[in-house]
Amino acid sequence: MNTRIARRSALTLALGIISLAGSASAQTATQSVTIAVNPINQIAFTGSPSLTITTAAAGSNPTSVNDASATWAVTTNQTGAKITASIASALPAGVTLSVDLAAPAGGSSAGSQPLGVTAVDLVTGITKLAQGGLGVTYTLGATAAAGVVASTSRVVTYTITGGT
Amino acid sequence: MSARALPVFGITLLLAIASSSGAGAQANSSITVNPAMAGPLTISTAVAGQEPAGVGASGGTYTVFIKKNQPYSSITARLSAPLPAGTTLTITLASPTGSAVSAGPVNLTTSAQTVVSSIPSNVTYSNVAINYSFTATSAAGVLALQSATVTLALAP
Repeated sequence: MNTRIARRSALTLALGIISLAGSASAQTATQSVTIAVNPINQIAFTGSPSLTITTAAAGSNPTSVNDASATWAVTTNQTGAKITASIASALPAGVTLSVDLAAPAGGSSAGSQPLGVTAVDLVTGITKLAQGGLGVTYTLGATAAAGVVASTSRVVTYTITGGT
Repeated sequence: MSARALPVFGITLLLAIASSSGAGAQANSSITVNPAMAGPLTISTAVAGQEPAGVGASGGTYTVFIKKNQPYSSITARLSAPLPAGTTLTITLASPTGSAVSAGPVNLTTSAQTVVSSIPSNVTYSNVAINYSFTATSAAGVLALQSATVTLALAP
C-alpha cells in the first residue's frame, strides 16, 4: 500500500467511527398514549314541584293542576337510550300523578304518562348528546271519590337505560 | 513528519474526535422521553347536560440536549395518525429552566406544533415534566382502549 492509499484508508475508517458515534443520539422521541371513552349515561332533575287540587267545576271531577317548574338534563355517548320513571309506592285510590318530559334533540317524548310502581317509558331514541334545561311537567288529578287527601309526597325515580 | 507517520497521526486525531463526540448522551443534540408509554386516559363521567369530563395524566418526563451550533432551539409534537372524531389529546411540556419557553397546552394533530422554544444549547435538561389531557364530546361515542403515538422532535 503506498502512502496516498494508506492516508485515504485511515480517513475513511475514522469518518466511519465518527458516523457511528453520532448515530447514538436521536432528534426525535416517541411516546404511546393510551386513551379510551367508557359508556356514559347521566341524567339529572332539578326542582321539587308541589301540586294541590283545590277546585272543581260543579258537576265535574276536581280540576287537575300542572307544575312545569322542574327541568331535566341528559348526557349520553350511546345510541338509542331511553328514560323511564316510577314511584316507590302507589298513590291513594283515585289520585293520578302524571309526568311529561320534553325530548332532547333527536329524541321522542311519550307525552304525559301516569306514574306507578312499574316504570314507564317517557323519552326514547336519545343518542349521543348533552342537553339541559329540558322541560318537566307534572299533572295531578283526582276523582271526587278520592276524597280529601292529606299532603303526601312521592319520590319519582328516573332511569336512563337501553343505549348501545 | 514522515509519510509513514501521517496516517497514524490522522487516525489518532480522528479517533480522538470520535471519542469526544461519543461521550455519553450529549454527543449530539437529542431528546428522549421516559416512559415510552403514558396513560391510560379514560373518560368515564359527565355532569348531566354537559359534555363528558376530560381527564389528565402525567406523561412522565423528557430530557433534551441541544449541541452548540446545531440548528435546533425548539421541540415540536405531533400525532402519527388522527384521533377519532370528537376527541382531543392535549400535551403540555414544562419549560426547562433557563430561557426556554413552554407553549403551554397544545392540541395535538398530525402536524408538528411547537411545544417548547428558545432552548439554550450545550445544557442537558433532564426529567422535565410532560402532561396530557384528553377530552371527548358525547358525539364521539364510546371508544375502546387504543393508543396514540406522539412524536417529539427537535426543530429550529
